[in-house]
Amino acid sequence: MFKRLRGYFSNDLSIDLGTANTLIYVRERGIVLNEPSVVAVQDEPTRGGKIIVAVGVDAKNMIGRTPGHITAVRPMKDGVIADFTYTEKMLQYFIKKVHGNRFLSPSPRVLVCVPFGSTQVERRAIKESAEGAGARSVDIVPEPMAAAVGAGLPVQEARGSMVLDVGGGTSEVAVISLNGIVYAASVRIGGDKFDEAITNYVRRNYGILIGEATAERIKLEIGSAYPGQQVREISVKGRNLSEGVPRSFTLNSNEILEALQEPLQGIVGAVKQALEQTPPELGADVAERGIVLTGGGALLRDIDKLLMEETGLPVVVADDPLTCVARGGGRILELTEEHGPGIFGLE
Amino acid sequence: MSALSAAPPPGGESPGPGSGLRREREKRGLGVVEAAEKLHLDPSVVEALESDRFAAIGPAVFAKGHLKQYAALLNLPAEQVMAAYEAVQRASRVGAQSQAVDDAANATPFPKIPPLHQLPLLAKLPPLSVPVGIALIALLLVASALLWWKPWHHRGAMVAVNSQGAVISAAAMPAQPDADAAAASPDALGAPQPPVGADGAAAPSAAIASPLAGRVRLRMSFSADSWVDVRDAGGVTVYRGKGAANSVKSLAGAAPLSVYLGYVSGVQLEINNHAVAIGPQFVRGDVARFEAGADGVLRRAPRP
Repeated sequence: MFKRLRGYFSNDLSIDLGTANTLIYVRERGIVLNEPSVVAVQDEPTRGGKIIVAVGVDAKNMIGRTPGHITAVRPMKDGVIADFTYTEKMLQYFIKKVHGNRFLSPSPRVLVCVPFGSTQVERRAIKESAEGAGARSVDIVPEPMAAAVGAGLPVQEARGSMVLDVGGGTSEVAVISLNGIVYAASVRIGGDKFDEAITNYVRRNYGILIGEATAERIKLEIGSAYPGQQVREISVKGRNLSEGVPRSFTLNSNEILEALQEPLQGIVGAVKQALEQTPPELGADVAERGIVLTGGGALLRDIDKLLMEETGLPVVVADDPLTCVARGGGRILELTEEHGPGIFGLE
Repeated sequence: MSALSAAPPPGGESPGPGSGLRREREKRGLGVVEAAEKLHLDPSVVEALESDRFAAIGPAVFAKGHLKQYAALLNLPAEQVMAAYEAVQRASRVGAQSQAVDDAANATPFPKIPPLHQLPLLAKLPPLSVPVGIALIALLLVASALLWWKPWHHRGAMVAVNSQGAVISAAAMPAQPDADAAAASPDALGAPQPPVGADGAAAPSAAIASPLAGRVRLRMSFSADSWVDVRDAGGVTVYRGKGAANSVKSLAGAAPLSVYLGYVSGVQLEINNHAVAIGPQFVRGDVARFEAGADGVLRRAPRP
């Protein structure tokens, strides 16, 4: 009853609880939060427990730079909850931040987007985590569906639409028709795997160890999925493993392309498999219009070109691909309010 | 200057990016089929792009994506191509909106009412204002209820009393009708007069009728003769004299009024228009001594 009252003063939220970033979309306000899914915790020797010292951007800035008693944790791994307590705390913080300093603590209706491949246990954990963070009711929607709606695909039509959402922890490929998923697959390859691949490449070829943040910076600045005419370079610093001292060195985009081959081939393989598994009529629809790319991974330079060459199909990157899932979730909230929750088979 | 803006489209040519793309393609000696192969598109899609028939391509996400890739193929700046595309879309949206406005004007209006908290006015308010506003309204309602519940006569009548105990209505406030008092002093009604004491001298200002709270009205009906001595809170005599049998005296003064009745059995007392029984605790023999408060309650009078 009191939750309902508090719900009256809360906005409906769509949350893209991603491995790398958490995005929150509020109806009629758009994307109101886009912060890294990172929590910094500090040991508390007096009570023997741990307390949260920072969440989001502040916590991410601490990654790799913390003293012994502080740990920067990423509570999501491969698109699912790796640490239930910190995920709940992080969600609580984000929901409060979105609602501002209100008289009543918020109790919104929440729609959380989860990877298609997540198990019932993992979904249950996300649901309970959101409820623990104060949500009045929690609905779960598969990420590819939210991504397709957010990208503006005609999911309600009797026509096949293929979407590839490359997130931080997972890549999801799905063929959608008549508001339902005809085929979907999820591979645990995403932005994190790209960073890891770059770190390994640098260690293997240069004997230098670089941090997570540096690997991500390299990916964002010179990362590429397909050989281009222009070669870009970046100067970075890392610890020389043999000398044990920090050293500066230069990497170019061709090297990063080489480093990223393995995870990229994993994604390409998932797309090819999806095309194989798609019923022929829907496959023809996809071939006519193309595959739509969403998620932060879609921002990797020329990833559309790579997929286009590998599949022989047109591939387009959605507008603002990073926010597609959250925006799509918001749209689904609106549609379910208009047509009832059965329209997308929400859990 | 880009190919898109270098040559303005001749009359009849679409203002969108299509004509520029076609010119650039032709300049490079590319056929439609060849361009479509490079883009992994159907030639009909390329033709639709070049003739700005974006609706034929499907949802905007495809049209935009294909345009960007076509621009990249022809080494054209994607921003300019997209700007031209947006211009066309804006123009078509404006047309559609004006059509929608016309349609809406003709249609029966059944506007969808948004929930209260999503009303534009409330949505723009600072976060705390809604609960604070509700709390204020609730407080106001409670205060109004309390005021309504409080008996009207507690608000005090503006009356003054002369030495004969006649009620004088103040001009500023309509006095409660008091037929007996009016009968006792009919000439006093309607005109504010300075109250006078028992000896005929002007009474102190405390006895002047005022709308202040804390005034009390006594009405004594005498069935037998009785001495009466009434003093107000300031100790000023409001009335001292004999109440004749079968008469009525109405008095008013600053509460509490100290009352002394010589023959209590012959007096019926009303305070603020409510009949009050004089309890035995106030009576010794036939004499009663008590204080009448503004709340209509009798209390023991301090010994003189």
